[in-house]
Amino acid sequence: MPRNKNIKKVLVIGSGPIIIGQAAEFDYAGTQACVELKKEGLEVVLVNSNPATIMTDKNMADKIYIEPLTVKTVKKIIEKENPDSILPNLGGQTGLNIAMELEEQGYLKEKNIRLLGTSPEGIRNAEDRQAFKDMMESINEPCIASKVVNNVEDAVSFSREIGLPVIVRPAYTLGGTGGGIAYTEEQLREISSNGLHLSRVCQVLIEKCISGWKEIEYEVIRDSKGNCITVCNMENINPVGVHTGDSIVVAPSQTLADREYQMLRTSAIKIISALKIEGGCNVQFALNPNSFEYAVIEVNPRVSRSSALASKATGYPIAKVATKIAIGYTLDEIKNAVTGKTYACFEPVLDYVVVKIPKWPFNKFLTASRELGTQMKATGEVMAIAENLEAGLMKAIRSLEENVDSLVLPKYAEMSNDQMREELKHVNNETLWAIAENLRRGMSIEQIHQATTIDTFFISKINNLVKLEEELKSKNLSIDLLRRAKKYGYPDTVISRFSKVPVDEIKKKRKENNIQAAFKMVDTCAAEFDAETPYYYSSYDEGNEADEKTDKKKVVVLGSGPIRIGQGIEFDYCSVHSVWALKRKGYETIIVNNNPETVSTDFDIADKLYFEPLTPEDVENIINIEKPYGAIVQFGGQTAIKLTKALKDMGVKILGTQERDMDRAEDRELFDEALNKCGILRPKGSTVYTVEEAKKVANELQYPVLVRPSYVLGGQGMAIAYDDEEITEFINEINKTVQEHPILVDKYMLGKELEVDAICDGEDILIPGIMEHLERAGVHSGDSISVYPTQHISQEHQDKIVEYTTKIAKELNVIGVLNIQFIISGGEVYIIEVNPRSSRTVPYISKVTNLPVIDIATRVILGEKLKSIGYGTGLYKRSEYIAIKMPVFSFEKIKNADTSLGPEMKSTGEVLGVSKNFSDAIVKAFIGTGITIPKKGNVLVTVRDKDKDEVLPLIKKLYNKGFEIYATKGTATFLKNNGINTTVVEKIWEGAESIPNLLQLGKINFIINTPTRGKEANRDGFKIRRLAAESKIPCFTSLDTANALYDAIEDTKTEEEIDVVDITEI
Amino acid sequence: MDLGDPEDCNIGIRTAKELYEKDIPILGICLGHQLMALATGAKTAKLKYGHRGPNHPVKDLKTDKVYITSQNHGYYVKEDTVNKEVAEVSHINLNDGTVEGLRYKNKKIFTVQFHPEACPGPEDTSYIFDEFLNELNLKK
Repeated sequence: MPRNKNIKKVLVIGSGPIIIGQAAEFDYAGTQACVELKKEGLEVVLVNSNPATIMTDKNMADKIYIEPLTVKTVKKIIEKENPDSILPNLGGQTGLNIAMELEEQGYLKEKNIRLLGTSPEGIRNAEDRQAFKDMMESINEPCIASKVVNNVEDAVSFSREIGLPVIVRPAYTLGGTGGGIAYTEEQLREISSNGLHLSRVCQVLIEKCISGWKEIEYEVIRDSKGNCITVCNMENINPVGVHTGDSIVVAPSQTLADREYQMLRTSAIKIISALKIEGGCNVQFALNPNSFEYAVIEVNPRVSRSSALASKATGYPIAKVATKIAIGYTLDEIKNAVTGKTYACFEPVLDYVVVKIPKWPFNKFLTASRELGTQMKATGEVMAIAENLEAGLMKAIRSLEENVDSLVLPKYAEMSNDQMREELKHVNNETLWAIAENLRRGMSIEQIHQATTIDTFFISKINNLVKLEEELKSKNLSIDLLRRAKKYGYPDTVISRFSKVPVDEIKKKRKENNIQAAFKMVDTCAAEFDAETPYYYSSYDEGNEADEKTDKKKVVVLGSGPIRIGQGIEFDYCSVHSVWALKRKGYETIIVNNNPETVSTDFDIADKLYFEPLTPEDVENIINIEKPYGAIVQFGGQTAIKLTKALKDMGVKILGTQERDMDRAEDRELFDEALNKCGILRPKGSTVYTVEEAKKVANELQYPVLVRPSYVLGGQGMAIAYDDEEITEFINEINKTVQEHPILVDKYMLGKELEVDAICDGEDILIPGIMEHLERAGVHSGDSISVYPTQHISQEHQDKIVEYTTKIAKELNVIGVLNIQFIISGGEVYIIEVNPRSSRTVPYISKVTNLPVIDIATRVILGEKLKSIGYGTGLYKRSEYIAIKMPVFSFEKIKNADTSLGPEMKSTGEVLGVSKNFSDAIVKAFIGTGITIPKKGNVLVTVRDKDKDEVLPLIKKLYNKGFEIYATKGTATFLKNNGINTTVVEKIWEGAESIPNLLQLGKINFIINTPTRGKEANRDGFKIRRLAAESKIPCFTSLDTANALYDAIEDTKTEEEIDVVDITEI
Repeated sequence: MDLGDPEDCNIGIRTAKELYEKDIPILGICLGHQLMALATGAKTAKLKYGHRGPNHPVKDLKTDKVYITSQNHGYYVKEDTVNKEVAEVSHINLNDGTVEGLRYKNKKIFTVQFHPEACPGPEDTSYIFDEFLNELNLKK
């Protein structure tokens, strides 16, 4: 069927801020959708609150709304734009939920808007637990014994029927938020109460726990004619019980025989047909490893994290095909974009193996539980493509950037055999390494299987890697052994470490014996047809398929690896835009990256895509084949920056700011020298290696001091120390990983923080705008509310900032972008840090100023001058719109993570509020983050002594507005003495007026809590903050954020009354 | 002689011809499909790319639906050589348009180039067996 010509104007709903369970994969899917719709000549209206995405870029849609993703706001946009259709199934659960709510209200019918793709009924049948179960029963597909309940007592009585343990799954939540396995009745009560609270429809599913069964997923596509294909299947190495987002996943399945494979494939097709899905769909199965018994776990009637992975694993663009199906095409009419000749109605063949490992944020949250279960905790993931599973594992491990490049985890050296065995009992982020260590210590494959229920096939693969380690340690490094080690994905550094042969010698040996990486193509068809899309992975097999011939100059752009706190989707935005700019200038572009969720690893973006780890050796293999004209490192975050020196040593020309100058921004002494030369102030400080040195410096500077390691992003390991005890704790923590560079200790200055991104061509500078942070210095810039343009900064200070930016950019010979953090303290402007690379604010500042920052920067890097590019120089004109970037956290997902804000970044994503006036913008930003702005209600206040005076005016204002004030004893006494009628609450842990009870009953609208010092988890404040996170009650740990909320409370307009802004009109 | 050329299977072609004339119900698969075509006057030719593996899309022209099939053959039946009086094309390959199935007129004979019994491979086209049995009124 050709395209439905009645469709003319389509609203695409994005997925909002990056949170755990909903990450960059939806920018990838949404971007593909927008591109396809535009290609078809349709008018596209886009709404997404996340400004860091590529999909919210001006060339992606005709109308773009960076607005809160709520039903009310989407309705406003619909009223303004009058789309005839909505594409709901590419914006994750968020987009789907909004579309469904509009449908259920009858709004779509009233407005005569059609839902493209799957019918609402199909979506309901897939999403609603009971409806799904009924449907599965009607088509004879087995589900797990389960029951939907809407109160805790029913949950308990059903569990008595089917026996413990049971799994609790809340309906309509992301990434299984609020779910868990209950082994005892007490746990069941706790988890189900929490899950009921989090579910949009107050439903949880109680289900028989089948942990130990294999978990298998199928990605299926169906069109309106009923044609179905499976793109690929994937097998979780971790059996059922660990969320698939937290599992190590391989594709295709490795332990299924054809009979099992086809049985599940047939079932998946039967299910998607019964649900009448039109588009992509993910079906998860549990398979009893000892029989052919299986059960359907879940169906997602939309594109998902798994579909992004499947797309990258196979080369089959699921989101693109799903979009085409949604507007009427059938699979037999859609071309296979990889071969360009065959059709989308086929099943990709994999002549390689794909391994995905999640990236967890535990190094950010030292108090958090690392145990994995049904609640997803990973912020991102890496994928590796390899000729064998062993090599896939090794590649994925080093792609994680966790300072680990093999299956050896140093910390195990100190652990006894008993302790090591104990490690296997709890699945966590290090289970892979624990298995290897136990194999090393003599446990058999079978014993490990008994302890972990992981299939012996996977354990034997790990064992192969361990055996090879032993060989490398004990034998001479023969050519055969070296070749086998390379085939198993061992980098030279690891081979050297085990064999004690220097890396240079290994390299030489490889060259002499022609043991070199050969690149293979991902072509969807195992070379059955000619492929047109060069998408490569390395192997140590014969025959290199990467073609190096071109007339154009080649430029390598390094990507930013997995999404993590501190280095998110913003850097993918920058890499992709740089590639586009290079293409426009006639260069051949090459992207190297390993993140399957992103736009940059879509084979449509660069001329060539290398799906590889971002390490010196892996990149060198590509350089050897491609021999590029140069490489750009400044857009791929710290991941790419770290490779600068290695690239230079390979003889690759670094385009843009040089390594030497980047060092001058990071190296303390060189940086001080540069600042001195420019006459710029910075907070006093020094560099140290040891605790003793740190204490000495801190006492000279006088506490509080700011402690941080060099060359990190997202404030990793950064903290404010108030005394000797704290600085000891922090320095020891930093030194847990070997530091190549000294640790910085600076005087902590209280003041206003500001930030600029700028472009410098060596002579002139262009500053899109100055951003002001609402939180004072000490809260990481990524966790601060950032306001553009500045609201409270004098002209004199703004001039100073422009002057300093110009001076330091020129002094550091910056060619391209840089980001500078300033502080204004005591009337003086100081520079805190200079980052000679792109930053997390670049996408948003580009969008609100209408300056294509990365495009300009790339052109400057290629040699053009700002004066000739045409956007002027100096500070760009101030926008008449105010844009407020607000961080979004995923605290409720990470058990026992401390939620208080500080110098180490904790947010996973961000939203933007755009308006012509400040208070409307801040209201939008708060709504965008999911915070309901209360007009009246109850506030719980518990602050440390030194904040009491400061909090008073705010509490007075809230009190006068009619809020009821609850406070813990100390704070309450203070407030009462100041004339505020306050209800005293018990900190601990029982009684009607106790904090847990108040929070669980939903009596408190928000909390103001300033944390006492230290990172310990047993303090009351910590417990209150956790309870708040888990009950989804906003808890402000910085008074500045709370004051900003008050600004929003004072805004008299409702969400419906605030205008929506099409940013293409800015 | 070219390896795998069905035109070389003289005995097979002769047998197919005898069975065709005896009105015995037949379901031909793969080489069986080619032999029956050759027996009834059609020609075969070599494919540029052989069809191998479990992922080949085949369209059933009666229902206009596409199924994924297992295949393993290097030759195909040339459509323009099929006598329209004898048989009509029931299935085609979506990628290269070659004949994937024939339905013989006035006979209880179906032949398919792909493997509906697929082992290994997808079970999508097991309906071919149902249709065959229905035709014989044997389906329970």
